[in-house]
Amino acid sequence: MQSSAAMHLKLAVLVCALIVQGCGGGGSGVSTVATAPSVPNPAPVAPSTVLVSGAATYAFVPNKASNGALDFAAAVDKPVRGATVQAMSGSTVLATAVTNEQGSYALTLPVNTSYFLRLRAELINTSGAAKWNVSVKDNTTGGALWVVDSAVASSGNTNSSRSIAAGSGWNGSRYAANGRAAGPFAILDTIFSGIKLVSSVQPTATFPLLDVFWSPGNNTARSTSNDYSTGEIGVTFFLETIQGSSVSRVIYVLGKEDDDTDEYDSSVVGHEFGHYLQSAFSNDHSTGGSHGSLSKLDMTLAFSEGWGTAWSSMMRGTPIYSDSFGVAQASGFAFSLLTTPTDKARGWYREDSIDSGLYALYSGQGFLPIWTAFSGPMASSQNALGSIFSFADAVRSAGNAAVTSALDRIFAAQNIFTGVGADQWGTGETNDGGNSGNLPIYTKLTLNTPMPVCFINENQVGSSKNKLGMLKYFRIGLTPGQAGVRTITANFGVGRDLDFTVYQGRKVVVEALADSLGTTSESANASLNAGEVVIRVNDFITTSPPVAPNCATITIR
Amino acid sequence: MDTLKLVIVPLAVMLTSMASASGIQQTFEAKGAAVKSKTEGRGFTSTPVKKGGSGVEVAYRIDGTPEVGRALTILLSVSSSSDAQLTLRGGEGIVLTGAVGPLQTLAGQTTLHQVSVMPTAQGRFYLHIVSSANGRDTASAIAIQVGKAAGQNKPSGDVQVMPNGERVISVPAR
Repeated sequence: MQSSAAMHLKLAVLVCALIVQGCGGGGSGVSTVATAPSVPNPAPVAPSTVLVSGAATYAFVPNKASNGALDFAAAVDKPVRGATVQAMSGSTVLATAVTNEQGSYALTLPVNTSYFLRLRAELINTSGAAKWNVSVKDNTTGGALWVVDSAVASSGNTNSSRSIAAGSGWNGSRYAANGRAAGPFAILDTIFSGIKLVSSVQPTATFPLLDVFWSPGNNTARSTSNDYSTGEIGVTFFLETIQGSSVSRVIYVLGKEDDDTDEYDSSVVGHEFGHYLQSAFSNDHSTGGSHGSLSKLDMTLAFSEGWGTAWSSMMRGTPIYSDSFGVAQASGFAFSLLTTPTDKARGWYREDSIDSGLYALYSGQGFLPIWTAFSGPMASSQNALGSIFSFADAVRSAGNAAVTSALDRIFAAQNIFTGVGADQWGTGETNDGGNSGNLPIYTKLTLNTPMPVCFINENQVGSSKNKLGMLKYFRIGLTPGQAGVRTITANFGVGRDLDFTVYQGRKVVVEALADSLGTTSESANASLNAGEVVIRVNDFITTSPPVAPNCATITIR
Repeated sequence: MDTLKLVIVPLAVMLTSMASASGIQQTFEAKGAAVKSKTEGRGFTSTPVKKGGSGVEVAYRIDGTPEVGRALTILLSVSSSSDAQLTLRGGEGIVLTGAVGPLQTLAGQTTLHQVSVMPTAQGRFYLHIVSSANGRDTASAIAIQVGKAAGQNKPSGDVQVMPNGERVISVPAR
């Protein structure tokens, strides 16, 4: 990436060169030294290149504060920041630049050459202290990169100004065909804001590759075969795929008009970028899946969703979360993170408790202590899976008394234990979410001793498996003498199907996810080092309506 | 919000776990080319629930094969932790022939609603659903394939292949 400083320097040199050329050309023929011998002036040297400078903008459509619907009447042009601009001749690239914070760029072109401007939906910085590589592509056309092209013009023989604008395509009642040029750049601009915030506290941050897939065809039906090339993505979401040591991270964004479009819903895009950050920089073991703001959730899901929403507000500089949808994008909703939950169902299992708490911590203490904990101890030295307990423990470990005090006060108000002895494991927590079976957060195992596990499904909604009590957590600290290959076994009743995952150092060691219906046990061998081991267990079988808790045992030998 | 995590373990027995946005844990166990799907087998497909939205979980089952001019029954299973309602809208190629809502579901219950639609053309069409609860909404859709005609999605720009093999989709500047 060419930095804005470099571009300005380049511009200054070129302008200076033109000034020198103009002054030295002697075109005026006026001499101030009357006695000087007459010397023929050399013929002016025609420049071989010219500078084309301008600004790139995109049409941004805000959400209405009242209901989150898109407000096309309030659309404004915003600068396209950090994106690539090219001067093209056919399919040949004549010059490339990167827009600065104001969307400005400068391109050096051969004189009198036909060209068009191409604005590429990508943020690439591979040479700065912080590095990133983000693109917006179309999942319905084989992953083609979105670009906006200007009309063809001549570069002429003098420097010129030429800007490029990506329009929304809105004609007052509908989007024009092939007119939604601004969509990809609205998405990029939200992500650019996030990159800037992280880079402000971690100047050498390296952001792993991120592809964002957006299409005007991306709709709210979900492909039953997970074939997103059809546009049937169901919802805007983040997807992490792990294959061996390779991890890919992508975000799919809705774009179907009259259904649900999210390219202008910066709250939603920011939220998904928050999931990317947790995946790339922190400790993410969220179950994923559907959830509501009033639901009691598994702790990993509650933290992941709460983080995503809080982060979205931090990076956008507003506590308001808005989302539009419906015919003419005229419906929607909006809420404020300043409205902290005050009902009884506050706690470590509630995403609203997490997001309002994290945003309150940010408002009072800034982003640095949050990011330091999130990307530091939480990602590197802890053994617990990502939850509000592990985050809080990471904050406390920094030893900043003011931040710790604020943290404890904020989350205590959300009925989350912050007293003496609070740690990454949720030790000391007394908020059981209305059922004593939800505690302790982690149950300690002993080698060769079956430990009862009872799943609680009173918070189940539909066939969901991600609510409070539906996943159970165990831990065991292995001594060096106990390290080695261990067998973990779940024993359960007929008609059940227990699954479990074994973690060490937050990494998956082994998953036992077989279809065990018709049997009464499932086992897996895991090669384990000395230290803490975490096992997460769930029952794949849910019934609707939910039935009484069912119990099983888990054993490590 | 939603997060999908796909873990591909290159073992003789490959275990792929996906925690889907729909709330269904889909697990595939594969040996060689054979893939067995681990599902709950009740024939319902969950629709995703959007972050910050209604929180209402909607699953559906299409009974029968969609045909032009023939009424088609879709069964909706609606679950919510608080009182909820659904409104329905037929998209292009689909006419609602029964109730369009609002369809009510009480807090803590799972309610089955039977919906009747009539396809009017061959193609891939969508029944649009808006679920509402706690003053928030979520839009979702059910795809209905009528015949074998392809979906209506067309490129929203000019797809080009550059000399270096890169694909771009070009839309004109304003």
